[in-house]
Amino acid sequence: MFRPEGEREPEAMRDDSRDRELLQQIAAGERRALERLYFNYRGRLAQFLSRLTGRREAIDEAINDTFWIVWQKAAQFRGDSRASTWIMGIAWRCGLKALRRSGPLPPEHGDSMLDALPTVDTTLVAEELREWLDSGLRTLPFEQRATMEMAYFLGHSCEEIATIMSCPVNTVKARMFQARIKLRNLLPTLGGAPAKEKVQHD
Amino acid sequence: MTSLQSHRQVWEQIPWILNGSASEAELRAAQEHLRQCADCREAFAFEQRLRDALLRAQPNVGDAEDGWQRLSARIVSSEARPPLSARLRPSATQTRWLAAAVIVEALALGAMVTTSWFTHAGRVPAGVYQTLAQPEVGRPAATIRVVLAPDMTLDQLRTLLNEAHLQVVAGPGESGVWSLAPAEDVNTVATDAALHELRQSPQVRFVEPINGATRAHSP
Repeated sequence: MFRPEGEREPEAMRDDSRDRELLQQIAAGERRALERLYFNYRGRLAQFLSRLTGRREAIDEAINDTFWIVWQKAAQFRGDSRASTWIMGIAWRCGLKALRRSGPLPPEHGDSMLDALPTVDTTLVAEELREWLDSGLRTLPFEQRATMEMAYFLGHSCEEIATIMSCPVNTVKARMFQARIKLRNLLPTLGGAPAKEKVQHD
Repeated sequence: MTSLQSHRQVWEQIPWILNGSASEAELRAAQEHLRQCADCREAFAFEQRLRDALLRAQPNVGDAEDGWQRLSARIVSSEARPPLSARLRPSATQTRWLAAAVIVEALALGAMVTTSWFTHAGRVPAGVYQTLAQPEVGRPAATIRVVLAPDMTLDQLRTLLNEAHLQVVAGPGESGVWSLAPAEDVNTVATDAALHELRQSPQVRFVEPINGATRAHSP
């Protein structure tokens, strides 16, 4: 009941084993292996990046740069993390660079944005829910949004996110905590209850 | 562990339980707490719906094939051109040629310095110096000494020397004596004529021939 992804562990291990093998082949100069890895990751990377920025050019550039670096540095993968964590770390840095090149990073919105959100409607359909969710996510500071996406969309652990974002584990926890509190206040319809802040963080 | 600590820990663990990254121990502790805590069950349900909504949302992210073609073109382009480091790094053959060139250059430089030293040593013996007052080789010998008026200008001196066909070969010394020599071939007539010119000038205080060619004259 409490591990909806209970079947994912063996699958994740199989995926990691497959990715490691591909990285070895890429290190040996096999372009076919890069192609497989590219198509395995491109969709989720693009979706992840598209939630952080609407700039299509920046997304394409970040993905291109990511796999260009993977092609050149695959031999440097030491295997002390999941292959997906290593690739996501590269993608995160390439994404930040691409966003900076294409303009300033999205502003870190404060609570002043809350007033601009639509009122709660319990009859939201799926499309409206998605828009509502996007609106809520856009109010989060960039790093908080990325942390939540990495956890919920990409399925990375707290420690893996810290590795990807090159920050302490406690920073990841704090970002996740703040993001959840804000979304809880912005998206009460998901919980079917008004906002609560019962849990205090040290 | 108090109930409050457990409550906080479980609340913080919910995302990692949901995405399957929590440990077995964390999972068991959460299950135990959730049975007793309605607030955490409600929070868990909220996060689950949030995660489901995130996973369902599928933004349009363009064509993967286009992206792969661009990446392939980039790789092909880089392979056609050697990496910058390889282009800047000389090959083994180039290195050998460079070393040989440096050795040849050093030998040539050494030979040039040695030749220059011998040539220089042969022309001017070490320890021999030449002063400005010392007559140069080929300079005519002085035939007349004169003492000039202090207010005589350089132009006046030049005019007088031209008229007397003389040139300065030395002086003035500490006593103000100038040594003059004929501008043309030395002969007595020329010296006498020059003496005559000098004696006519009011700005010549003293004039005498050297070696007793003629008698001294004081205006």
